[in-house]
This record gives sequence, structure tokens and C-alpha cells, in this order.
Amino acid sequence: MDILTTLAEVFTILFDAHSLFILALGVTFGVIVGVLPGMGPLLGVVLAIPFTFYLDPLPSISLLIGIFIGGNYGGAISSTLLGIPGTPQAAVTLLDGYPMALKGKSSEAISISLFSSFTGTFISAIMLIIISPMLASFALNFGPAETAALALLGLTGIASLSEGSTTKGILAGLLGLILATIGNDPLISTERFTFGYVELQGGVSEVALMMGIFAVSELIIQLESPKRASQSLGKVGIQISGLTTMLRHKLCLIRSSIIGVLVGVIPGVGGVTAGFMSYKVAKDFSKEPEKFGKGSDEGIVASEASNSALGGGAMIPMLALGIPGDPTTAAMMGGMLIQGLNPGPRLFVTDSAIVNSIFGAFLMGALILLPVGFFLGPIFVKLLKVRYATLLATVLILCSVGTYLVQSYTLDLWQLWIFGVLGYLMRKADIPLSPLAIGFVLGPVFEVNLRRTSMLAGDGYSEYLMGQPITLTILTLTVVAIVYPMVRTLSKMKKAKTETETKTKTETVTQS
Amino acid sequence: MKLKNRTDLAVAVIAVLFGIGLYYLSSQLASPFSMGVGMPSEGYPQLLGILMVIIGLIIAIESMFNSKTSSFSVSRFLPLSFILFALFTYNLDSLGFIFSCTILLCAIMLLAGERNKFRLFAIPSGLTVFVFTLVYLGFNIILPLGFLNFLYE
Repeated sequence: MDILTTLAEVFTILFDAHSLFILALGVTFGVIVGVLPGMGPLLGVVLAIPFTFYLDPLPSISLLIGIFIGGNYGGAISSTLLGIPGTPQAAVTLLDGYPMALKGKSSEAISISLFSSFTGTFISAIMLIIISPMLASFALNFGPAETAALALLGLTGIASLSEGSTTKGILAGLLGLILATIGNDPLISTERFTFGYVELQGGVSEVALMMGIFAVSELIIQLESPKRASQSLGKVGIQISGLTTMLRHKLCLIRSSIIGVLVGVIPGVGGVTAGFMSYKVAKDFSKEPEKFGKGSDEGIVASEASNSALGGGAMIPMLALGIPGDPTTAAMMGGMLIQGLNPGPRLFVTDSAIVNSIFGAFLMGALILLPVGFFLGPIFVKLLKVRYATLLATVLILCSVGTYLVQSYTLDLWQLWIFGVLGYLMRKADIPLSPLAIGFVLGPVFEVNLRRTSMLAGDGYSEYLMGQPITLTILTLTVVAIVYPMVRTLSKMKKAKTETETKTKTETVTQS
Repeated sequence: MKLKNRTDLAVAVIAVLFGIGLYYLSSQLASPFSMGVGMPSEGYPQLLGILMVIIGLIIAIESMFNSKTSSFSVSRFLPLSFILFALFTYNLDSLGFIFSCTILLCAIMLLAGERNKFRLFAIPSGLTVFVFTLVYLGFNIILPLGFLNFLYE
């Protein structure tokens, strides 16, 4: 299917009032969760998944995409006004947004953020539409061996590149794969680890797992952290001048958006890296680098364009290969699986209409962000005054009702709390949570394809793999993804040790 | 050698024990109808169990050479909130969603530092009734009514 035909389908499908309304609702909710520190798009998507059960595929995916887009922008509001990033990726926006707000230019800073966020999302949507079908048509020839290897690469990539220790990341990924084995065997339907619970035959509740490890654990963490006082905020509104300011930095805008998309495609790298990378590049190319960190509008453009463009980038491997680029896309993939849609190259053949609708939803989501941000901006700012205890109570009720709504099983609620405690303990032990979520989502894909490969290979694994050049390439990349961070850590440790020894020697010489 | 990172060592021990346990449980899963070729149903979790043990051992070795001091601490909020969650779930069917959830939210707000009596009552009960009505009207689902079930019947 050529790109023009795809585009035509995208716009035909999107003239659907119900889906557009849901998308707008999603964008609004996304900005709300983005604004509130400690929440963010991931939590927003996870909280919305149970409600998608009652929607058709298109509106349900539109809702999740809307939250994803809105959440990426929302973080900039609290970063600018409070100096507290609403989302981790908005931490870079804080560097210039907050100093601008301190100078009394908070409206200008938020306006630049809105327009940059819109442009970044829009550019990433275009790249998503162009790149995904090409990648999918290439991946369409993949057999079980290639698919299993790809799932392994996605998982190890997340584990290696996410923050913290690589081995702990792999451990979390393994735990996700193990949790995915609970329930009926995907190939021969015999029960595994259900311990007599009929409710577990369908496997661990995905909603309970996602909400537990991300939302409930965050809630417990927030209970122990210092309480936020209600903020006194001035009057803030969106100004059109933000658009002209942004357009003065066209090159920075495009460059940062492209960096965002490229970083988003690589599983596990994340918005913070994309933001800092484009911020540094923008500073290096800027005519006024001295203004960076002191309220530079160019700095806000770079940060917001890249962290918003990251969304479209992360969607590319999820849609085209079935490999989520980050935990938010993993949760979205979970939402798609619930709707009976299996992201991956086959989806482009079997459900091309829905794929094009997703493209359309992404484009329209970017467009809807403008009026939502423009007209509801002052209301979003007021959300920062919501009392901390009320916010936690709202999250808790959404988690418990959302989990219960899926199957009306009390066991799902137990799972929610258990995963909440697990998530809390993992955070405390510096074990990243994203690999667990992605391991769980990729688990069935990996197992089915690994076992099919073992059937095809019989006893001759090596001969079989030698005849699979793509699989071998992907496996080599997987090994690199595991070994490279380990080597890097070892060399850092060696360097630190040498430096300590040199320092001690110098001190001894000085003393003597 | 003085061990600085006890947290990582504890993680490693748990991982190894979990891996061994998983391997043992998986070996009890012998499928009544095997496909004869390829990896059997129990083979995949067994493989994951072995990998878990290996990763656990690597983390143990790393923890011995890691100079970073661990700072693992569990606050009182963890057991407290878990007890509240458990009480809510345990009493959901008998007390019903409206009562058990109001109590849970009220307790969580107390833990979060809310001391205003009006807000402690009004926000949890208002939120609970709002969500209950929303779920009923929006999805046509009645959340557990508990002892109020007679109202529906």
C-alpha cells in the first residue's frame, strides 16, 4: 500500500465524531495526569486501560493515544510553574522554563512549550506514518526464529539501556517473562502455576500488574515523601506570541523533533535522554548558548519538541514489530491486545484500517492538543492546587475500580496490591520496573515463537540458526546490548579505582 | 572483604531461590500430551528458572565488588497501606464497595496528612458515590453492594 493511499484512509477514518471526542477526552486527561507531579502519561494510560474494555477498538486506542500525547505536554506546565517536573522527561524543560517563570514570563514559557510540543508530536506522527509501514513490510517475512530473537532484543535493549544496573534490568525482564507463564500454555492449553485458581487460567491480570507496579507502588512512595503544599500561582494563559518565538528557532525545532523520534525508536532510552541530547545539541548550535539554563526560549523548544516527538518514535517499533519502545507503549500494546489487536507486521495486513486509524489518531491528537492546551490551559494550572491527599485518594479509587471492572474478580484486586508491594520493593532495591512490564507483555510472543523455533530446528539448533541470517544478526545485536553496558560499567569502575589510588598516593606523598 | 551492598546480595539470594523453586515447580508440570518435538510446556519455565539462578549469581558476584553502599529501607507506610488494601478487598463482598472504599480512602487520606474532618469524610464518600454511579450509568455494572444488596433486589 503506498503512502498516499494510507494517508487517504487515515483522514477518511478520522471523520468519526465519537472517536474524535474520545481522542479529545484522552488528550485532556493526558494533560491532567502530565501536570500532576508523580503521575505522567504512563500512569494515565494504565488507569484508562480498564475503561477501554467497554469501547470499540478505534475509540479505545484513540483514548490511549490521546493520553500519551497530552501527558507528554502536561509535564511542562508543572516544570515551568513549580520547578517540579510533572513527568521525568519534562525535567529538561525545567532548566529554562522555571527561570523564565521566575522572571514573570510563565505564560510565555508555557505557550512555547505548547507549540513546540504540538510540532514535535506532529513531526513524529508524520515519521510514524512513513517509517512504520516500510519496517512492517520488511518484518513481514520474519518467521518464529526472527520474531523470538526480536522480542529478546527488545527486552534486553530495555534492560540494558534503562537506568540502573543492566543485570538488575535483565532480572526484572526475566520476572516479567516468568509472570507471563502463569495461566494456560499458549500452545497446548494445559494449566501452569494456577494453583487451583480458575481466575488465573487466563493468566495474571495485565491491568492489575501494570497498575500495581506503576500506580500503587508510586502511591506508597508518595505517602512517605514530603507533602506538597498548595501553591500560590499567578494568572497564566496561552499567548500566540509563543508561536512566533518558536518559529524563530525553526532549525532547532526540526532537529530536536528528529532526535526525539530516533531516540524513541531505540527501546529503553527514554525521554530524559532525548531531552538532554537535543538540549545539548541546541546549545552547541545556538547563537546565544550563554542564555541556556537562565530562561532560554530555544532551550524550551529543544526540550519540548524532542520529548513530544519521542512518542511517535516509540510507537514505530511497537506497531511495526510488536516490540514496545518504552513502558507507556508497552501499556498501550497491552490495551491493543485486550481489543484483540496484535501489534506487529501482520497487523498491517490483517487490520490495515485500524493501523491507519492509529496514524490518524496520532495526527489528530497533535492537532487537538493545540485547542485543549489553549483554552483549558488556565484550568490545568489550577490543578496544581489540588490537595495532595485528594489526589492520592483519586488515584487509589481509579486503580481499584479499574482493576475490578475488567473481570469482576476479587483475586484481581489481591494481585493489584501484591504487585504494588512488589513494585515498591523493586524501586527501593533500584530494580527498574519497565523491563518487568515489557517482559510481561512480550512474554507470550517470545515463548510461542521460541517453542515454534525449537520445533522447526529439531535437534539441529546450530544448523538451523546458521541458515537464518536475520536471526543471527538480531542475536548478535542482543549480545552487544547485554555486553556493552557491562563493559562500560567495568571500565568506569576501573577508572574510578585508578583515580582513588592516585589520590591516595598523592595524599601520602604530601603528608610525608 | 567488607560487604557494602547487602541489598544486592539479598536480591541475588531471592533470585537464586526463586529460580530453583521455579525449576522445581516446572518439573512437576509434565504435560499429559506432549507434542514430541521441540521445547515442552514445562521446558520454557524451566529455562527461565535456570536463567534466574544465573542472573542471581551474577548479581551476587557484582554485589561483592560493588563499592556503592546500599540504602534499602522500608517505611511504615508499606505494611500500613497493605493492611488497608487487604481489609478493603477482604470486606468488599460483605460491606460493599461504597462503605469499604470510603473507609479505605479516608484512611489513606489520613496517612497522607489530611486532618480536616469535613474533607476526610466528604472527599472519600463523594468520590466513592461518584465512581459507583459512573460505573453503573456508563458501563451498566453494579459494583458489590454488600449488605445494601436488598436495595437493588
